[in-house]
Amino acid sequence: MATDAVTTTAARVRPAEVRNVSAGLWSDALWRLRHDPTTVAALVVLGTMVALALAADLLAENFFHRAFSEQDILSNYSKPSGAEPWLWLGTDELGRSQAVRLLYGARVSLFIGSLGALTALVLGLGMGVTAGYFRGRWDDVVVWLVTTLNSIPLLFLLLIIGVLFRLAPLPFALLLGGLGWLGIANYARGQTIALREREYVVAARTVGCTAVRLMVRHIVPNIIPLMIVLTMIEVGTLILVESAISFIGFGIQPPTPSWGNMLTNAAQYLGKAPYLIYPPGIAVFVTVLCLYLVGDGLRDALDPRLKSR
Amino acid sequence: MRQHRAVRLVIAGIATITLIATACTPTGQPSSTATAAASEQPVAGGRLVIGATGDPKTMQPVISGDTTSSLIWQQVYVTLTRPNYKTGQTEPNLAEKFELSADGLTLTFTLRDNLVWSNGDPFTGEDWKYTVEAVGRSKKTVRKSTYQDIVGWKDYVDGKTDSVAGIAVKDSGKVIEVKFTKIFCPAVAALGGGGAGGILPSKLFKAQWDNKTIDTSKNIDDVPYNMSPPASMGPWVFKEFKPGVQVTFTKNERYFRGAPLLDEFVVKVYADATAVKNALMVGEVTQANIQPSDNEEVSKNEALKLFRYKQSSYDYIGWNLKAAKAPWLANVQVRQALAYGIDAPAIVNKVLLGFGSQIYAHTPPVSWAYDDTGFTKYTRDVNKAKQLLEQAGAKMGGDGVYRWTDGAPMKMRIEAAQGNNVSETVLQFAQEQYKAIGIQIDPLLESFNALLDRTQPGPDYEGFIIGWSLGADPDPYSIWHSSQSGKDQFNDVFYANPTVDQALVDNRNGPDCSQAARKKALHAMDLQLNQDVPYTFLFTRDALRYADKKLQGFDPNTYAYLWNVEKWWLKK
Amino acid sequence: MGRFILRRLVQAIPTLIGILVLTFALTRLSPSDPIQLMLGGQYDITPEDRIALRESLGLNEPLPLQFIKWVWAILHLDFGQSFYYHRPVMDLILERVPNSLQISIAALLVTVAIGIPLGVIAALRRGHIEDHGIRIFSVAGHAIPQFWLGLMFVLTLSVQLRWFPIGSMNAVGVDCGLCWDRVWHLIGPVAVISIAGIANLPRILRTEVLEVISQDYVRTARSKGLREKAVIAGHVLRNALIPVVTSFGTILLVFFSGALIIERVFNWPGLGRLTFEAAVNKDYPLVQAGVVISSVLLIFSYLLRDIAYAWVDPRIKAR
Repeated sequence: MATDAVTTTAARVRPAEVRNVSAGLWSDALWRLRHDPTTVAALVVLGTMVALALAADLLAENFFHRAFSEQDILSNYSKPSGAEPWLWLGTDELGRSQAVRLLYGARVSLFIGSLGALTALVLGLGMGVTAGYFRGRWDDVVVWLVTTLNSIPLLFLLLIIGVLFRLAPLPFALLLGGLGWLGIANYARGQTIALREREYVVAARTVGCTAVRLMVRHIVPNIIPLMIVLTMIEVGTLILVESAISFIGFGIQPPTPSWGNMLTNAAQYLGKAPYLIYPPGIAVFVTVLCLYLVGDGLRDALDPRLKSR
Repeated sequence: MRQHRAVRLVIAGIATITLIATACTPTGQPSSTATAAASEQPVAGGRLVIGATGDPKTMQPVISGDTTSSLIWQQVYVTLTRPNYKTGQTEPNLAEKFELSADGLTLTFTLRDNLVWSNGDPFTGEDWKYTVEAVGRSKKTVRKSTYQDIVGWKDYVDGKTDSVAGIAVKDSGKVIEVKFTKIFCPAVAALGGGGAGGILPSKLFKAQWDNKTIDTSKNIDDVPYNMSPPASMGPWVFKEFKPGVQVTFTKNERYFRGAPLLDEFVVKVYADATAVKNALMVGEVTQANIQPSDNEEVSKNEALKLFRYKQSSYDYIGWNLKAAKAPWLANVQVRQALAYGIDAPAIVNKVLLGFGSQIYAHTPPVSWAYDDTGFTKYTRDVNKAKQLLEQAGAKMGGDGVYRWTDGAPMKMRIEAAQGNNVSETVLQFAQEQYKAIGIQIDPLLESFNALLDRTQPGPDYEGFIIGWSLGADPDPYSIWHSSQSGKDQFNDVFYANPTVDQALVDNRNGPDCSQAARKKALHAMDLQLNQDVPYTFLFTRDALRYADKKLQGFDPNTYAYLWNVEKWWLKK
Repeated sequence: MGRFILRRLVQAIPTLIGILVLTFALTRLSPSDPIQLMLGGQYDITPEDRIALRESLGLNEPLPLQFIKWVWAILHLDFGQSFYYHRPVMDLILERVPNSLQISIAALLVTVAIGIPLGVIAALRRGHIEDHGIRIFSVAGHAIPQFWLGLMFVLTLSVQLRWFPIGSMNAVGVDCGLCWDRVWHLIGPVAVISIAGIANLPRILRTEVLEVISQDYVRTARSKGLREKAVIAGHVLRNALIPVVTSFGTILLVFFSGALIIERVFNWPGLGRLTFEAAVNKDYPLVQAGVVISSVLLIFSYLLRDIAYAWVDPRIKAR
């Protein structure tokens, strides 16, 4: 496979370690990852978070015995206490369990971040690779689109959209993806332009490979590893963006909890219930931090030459 | 209520209440509490800072519709009479005497002597007439109904005459005589006070809009002076406006109650109620009305003192009886079910944190006309609510939501204004509470302006959470009379009941204008409203006004807090 | 250089057009009736008046024509009247833009002043504790939500500790621009906004510095006897700065975007807060203008960055 020829060079690193030299890119990467404690830790944290988020319904029903929108106004403003699981993080002004809402907020934020990043990946890859490969008119259009969207501060754009439409999580995620593909496209395009002149690509073209086949079988697999890294980082970025726009009220609307709109509430009740502001903020921070660390770790694992050491 | 032109107000957090349109007309008798309190000598100098959440849209009363704007123009344009800050009784302000004739058809104001504007121009009855006529021709005002019973009003509005015949300024400007086409019980309060809004300096404004004309295309709505008051009869003189930052006033040496002791008055603009509260905590703002949830934190601040008092206002959930998407709202049993479906006492205890009380009808408890005999005091009763719904013809669906007689699920929207954490909380609370009685609510939060706009009488809204801020003289005609559901009017629930209509007319046009008779009429209205529940009446909030302890002479109460601002001083 | 600038300006035009099309299309997609919103405060409007108003605003014309007219007006700096304030939008915006620029420029200066030394230190002390510390700070700084940081700042440093003001540009009654009071008020918003930039810069700079330092010409400079500082400043930085200047693009984007929320948190009367309040009030002309103007400012900043780039690396100009 043409791809192997290009990548085994990357495998010839650190001959001192005892390792199976002929392993492919991915198993190499995996090996390196396993020996990178920070990244592993981050992965574990992320994994736990995702698991908890997915199990939100189960947990809400069987462990906390509270739904995320369930109010108990007589227990509002309760400080966090160990008394019962639903009180672990306290309650807000309507007596809703912050612990349960944090969990569902994780679901919403992670969902939006992932789906958005995935959309961004697909769009970015599609636009970037085709632009880089075909050049000419299409490339001009894509570059124009990227420059234009890059020139509008993202939150302003989301603001004007938020004024006009109230979006549910799914369309919102797609929207974020639709605006967040720029970095990925840029990178994909750059790489494609470089790669299309490589011998094997030229060879494939001469042999009669169609453009699509070329792109899909020869170009994309070469850039995918780093695309994945960018995507992971994009998830983090989108989670930050979503929480920012929800915080000012133009993103996910209550009562659907998102870490962003939980913070809107918390900010209003800072005097009465200061404990409300820490869990969502820390949750965002930890999640995004882990995503960045994993992204960094993945990048180092996939191409140690890029490692900053 | 007329006198203060019932302003639709979301009884909100800090700034909004700080700027209540009800009050804020300066002073009453010179011999007030200030002397009693002072065992020390007042010192001159210093600055008073008040917080507002948003820039003023205008600085004159004719087209003013929001609280920030009201706060601004009330400092420079004052009224003939004003309500006593505690009792609400009409007192002299610019007018030292006011008399309604025996037949109730002529109202005479006699101005004080030697009244001058801050720039030296004399103040006369012409200024009042000018302001009234400005309202007549304005396309952006909500005050027209205040004057509709004056002789010659309609002709002026329509451009048939160049002045309102029924207003005569006599005695070289010292006397104003107003003639009505029918008895108007709240006349004194309404025309002398809030209904009219502050009085403009006609001599200066005439250059930008002349009232002596039949040209109805011209009006005062867009003149430059609207954003920079050229002269003042109030305690302060407008100095400058920095958009997004603040409005600054300096003291008016010619103020008829005496020049203020303080040098400067600043209205500073903040992003929201929490920001104003923060400003209060660090001393950037001198006094503010805060949200109940902030009380715990603010009360711990040793530099601040609390003034708590009842307000002449209440919050409610309005139900549009002509909602296109919710025909069941026209059914009184459904509305009663809605009243039984929400736990209002819990709101008072847990959201207002006890700083307020539940209400059951329109007249607020603090009013002289309040009488709750015979009221049904609604408390949460899920079973009763469901019973009522089923009696009305609703059938429970498989998903826990009732189906109405036409088969449609009983689902509707309630909207509320952002920026007021009590309303926002009530909105979400209502959603959950009504879920339990089988009604699905779709909550919508929007800006206050958008809310007002959307709830102009029409079929496109169902429920909405908002409040009324009411003047001392009760005249809820424009809120409850069946004729008041026109495009720009205030009966936006399309309530129509002959008993209430009659009571409103009795209260407003007499012929018996005694308090006893009016109280009786208003009680009849309240009883009917309590039964028909076109609103789910929720609560009236107490004011939680905190002020810097250094501020002396500050004495806020139900109907005014700035009434004696010229006597305030700051201890060093 | 002049030709370079001209070329870049011309290249910016299609972008501008794209922004205008996007903004116009978005607002025309709005389900609300613009007339209803515009007349929000007026009560005596008859149906005939409404129709006349529609005509006079050109709302019955075909969309492309409306677009052209709108763009034409914008070129004359006429964004229409604000629905909420009933004043020309351009006036409102011009009042606020200088305030926003103060934060952005100050933040950029702070980012450069702190970020560059940090990056150099991290490179020179590679592997040591300073390097690790800076790396951790970088990643953390990226991950922290800016608005949360702002809230925490106001809560702890302003309200509780009273070290800094809770917001606004000046203390009440103080009216100065270039003075200590203004600087003191700038610290909060600038600190919060620059964290993102400061987190970014050292990483890029570090990589670049490390790469450059191993280059031949640096060794030559050292062997010539130049002092280390001169080597660093003259040769290393000059070359390492190139990608740094490129990263200004992302940094500026973050600054402008972040301004929306930070201006609200710190009560700063800037363009971001104006646009936000306009959005809340459904004041479409103002929101449109806010988006367009902030984009124009951003494009302009990119242009300045490109000029800086060309100045630092003369090879760029040739392209």
